[in-house]
Amino acid sequence: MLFLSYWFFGFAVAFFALYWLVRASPARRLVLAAGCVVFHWHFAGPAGVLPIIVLGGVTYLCGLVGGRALMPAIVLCVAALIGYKYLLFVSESLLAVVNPEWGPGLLQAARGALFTAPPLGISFFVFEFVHYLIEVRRGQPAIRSPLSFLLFAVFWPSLVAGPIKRYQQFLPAVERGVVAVGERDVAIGIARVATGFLKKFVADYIGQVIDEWGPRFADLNHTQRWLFLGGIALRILFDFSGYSDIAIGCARMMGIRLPENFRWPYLATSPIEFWRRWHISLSTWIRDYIYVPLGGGRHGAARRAINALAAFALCGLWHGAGWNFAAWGIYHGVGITAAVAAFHFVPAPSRGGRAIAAAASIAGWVFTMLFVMLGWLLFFYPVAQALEMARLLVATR
Amino acid sequence: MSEPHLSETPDGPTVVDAPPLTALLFRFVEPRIYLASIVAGFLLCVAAGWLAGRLHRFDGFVRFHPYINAETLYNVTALQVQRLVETIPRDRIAVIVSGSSRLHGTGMAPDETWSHELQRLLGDRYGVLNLALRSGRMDHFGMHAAEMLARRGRPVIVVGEIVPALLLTGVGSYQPYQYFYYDARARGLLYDWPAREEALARATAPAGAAARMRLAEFARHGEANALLNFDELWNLIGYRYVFLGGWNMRTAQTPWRPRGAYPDLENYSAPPEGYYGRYSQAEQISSVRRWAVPVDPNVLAAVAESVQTIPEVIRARSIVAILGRSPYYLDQLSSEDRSLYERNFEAYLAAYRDAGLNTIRPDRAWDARDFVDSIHMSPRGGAKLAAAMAPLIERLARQLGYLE
Repeated sequence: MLFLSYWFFGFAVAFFALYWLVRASPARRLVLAAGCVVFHWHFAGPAGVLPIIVLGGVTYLCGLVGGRALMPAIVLCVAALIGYKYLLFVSESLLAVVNPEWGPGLLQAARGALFTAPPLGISFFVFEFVHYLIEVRRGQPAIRSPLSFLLFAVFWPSLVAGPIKRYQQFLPAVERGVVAVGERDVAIGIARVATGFLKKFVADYIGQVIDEWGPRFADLNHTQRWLFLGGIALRILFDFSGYSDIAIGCARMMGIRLPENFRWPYLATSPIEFWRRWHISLSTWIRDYIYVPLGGGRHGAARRAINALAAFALCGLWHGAGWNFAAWGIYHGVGITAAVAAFHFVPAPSRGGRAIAAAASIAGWVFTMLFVMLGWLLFFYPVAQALEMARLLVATR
Repeated sequence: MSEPHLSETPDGPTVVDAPPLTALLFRFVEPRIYLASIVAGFLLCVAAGWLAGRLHRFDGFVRFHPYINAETLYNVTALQVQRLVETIPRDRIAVIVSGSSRLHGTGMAPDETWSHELQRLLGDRYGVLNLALRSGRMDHFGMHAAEMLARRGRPVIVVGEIVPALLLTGVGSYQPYQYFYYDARARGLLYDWPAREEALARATAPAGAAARMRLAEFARHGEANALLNFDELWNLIGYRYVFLGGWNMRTAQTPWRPRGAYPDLENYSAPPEGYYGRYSQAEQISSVRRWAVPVDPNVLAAVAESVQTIPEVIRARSIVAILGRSPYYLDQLSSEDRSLYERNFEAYLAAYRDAGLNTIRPDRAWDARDFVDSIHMSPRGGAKLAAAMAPLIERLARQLGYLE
């Protein structure tokens, strides 16, 4: 957790003092850029920075050139993500099954050539670069200023855990921030950062309990097992949304407004609504750059279901290289498809209006919470263990 | 009810001015007043921390039992330890016990620790303070406390214990305790001792970037705390009022209970027939047998070299016990293994002595009833250790000119 380090506190104090002290907006942009470079260099190290420089450089130049240069750049970004993040998974889980020598062979060759540990924040970098290249391909203007592109690429508050930015939204926000950051921005930003740290504190506290009790799940009684499930649901919400709050708050302290990433997701009354409230910057990215290009809901129910499953499987894998993440994604894809079907086939109440709607909402919320919480087992544990834990929630042995 | 779609809905990432609660706050509070309050509150906390560091006392201190040390996330600060060692009257020679659970007194109830017996044997001219920690090491924590006193010119002797083949680095090997060295160093309470820094760098190098970053974070934490005293405030609140420093299994039932309210629960004083029942016999035998191997001369040389990480002033004021394993298990070794074991121990003893430490091996004639398990002393063994140590301490005190 980079924001929970003393280095970060020292960095933040120095950075904000300088940022607020410098009044001229061009100089402020330079201070911001320098802060981004220092932050990235410190946490990623040379081995983590170099691949991002290469990917960022290619993305920037191809964006400028446009036309036929864009697709190869997209392919390069995606290949880099697969290479860095999924090569081990592909080698061990897929190739090794086909031929025991292929998996380790590929891994060794790739590591020797280029790939070591994944660069810090590679998933976020690649998604933002791909978004940029696709939008330019769709006719949006490219970023001409290298400084603006640098700020978009390595904006330090959102560097590690998002929100995933959209450049059309972000660059005007930076322009406003460097010109007109005010007391209200700083005050709201600090309140947001404090909220984030409070959430992180709670998440870490719950995490300590979970880490101790997870291996002894089978020894717990039923009440404790359900409390454990609630614990992991709260932990990931507070952990992740806390991180987003800190990122959004830090940006706001510069006068820059980042998009919201969480909107009370555990109040959702359907899996569809859940994904409109949970990690919004990711779900909308998946929607805009995977689901819709695949055809979205335009070619009938069967095609829509397949598209949703594919999009969510990729969404799951984006979170980590493992079968459990893929299973978690597919699980949500199935849930959303089922919810869409339910909304389609179950008629809306024509009489008795409000009471029935309220009852439906409550039932929907209970179902959604159960669905989401059980899904977290898949997210945190290997598939077999998650299924066993799910079984133990109702079974005694 | 309209059919919701996953796609083509306009609700993409949205930017809001402030979340509802924050927006509500700023409807009533001017941002300038809010910011001024934050600055004032922060300064108030710093002042409270400064005060806490100077006022905090441990009630009826015997030793840092698990509820008041980093084992259960209560990270005792260097300033707290400095205040504690300063409770030894100035006209007494401070005898600081530093080491692991063996000297901490695992196996002995609070009122029957070996350090109590040592205090009784040494009398009023000495003040014995047991700062040994479970899983601790002689060359940190307690020894750092001794450095704090020695730097102020106070008469001090360190009583320590070393496990053979242990490389000393000054921060110990048990991660939860390692912050302490950096905390004490940042407050300027320790000697500048380059050999210690070099050993630390050497020990960290193979562990990789993550380990180096962790220790660098300890250093930054120490420097920040020396400036702002947040740990002092946090620890005072956690000791007196409510503990919010985290959750662990040991305090699982009452995680928020103030740590000062926890008793020292170490109460091992079972009758001798109850000894040796806590751990698996096979594992204990196997653990003892690991010492019945020929000594590696390279390890021996490295061990001797690592002694240089202890500042010279403290080395000259230290007496180190090299304690073996319980005869309960040693007697179960073959004669060949037993002989190897003895040679092994003697070799380490000589290596530490040659490196400049005052070493003793007090347990040559001890029997199974002097231990409660493979390594921890019973009250009877503790009394024997105290009896062996007391004359050495008196002799060293005379050599150092502490006694006329």
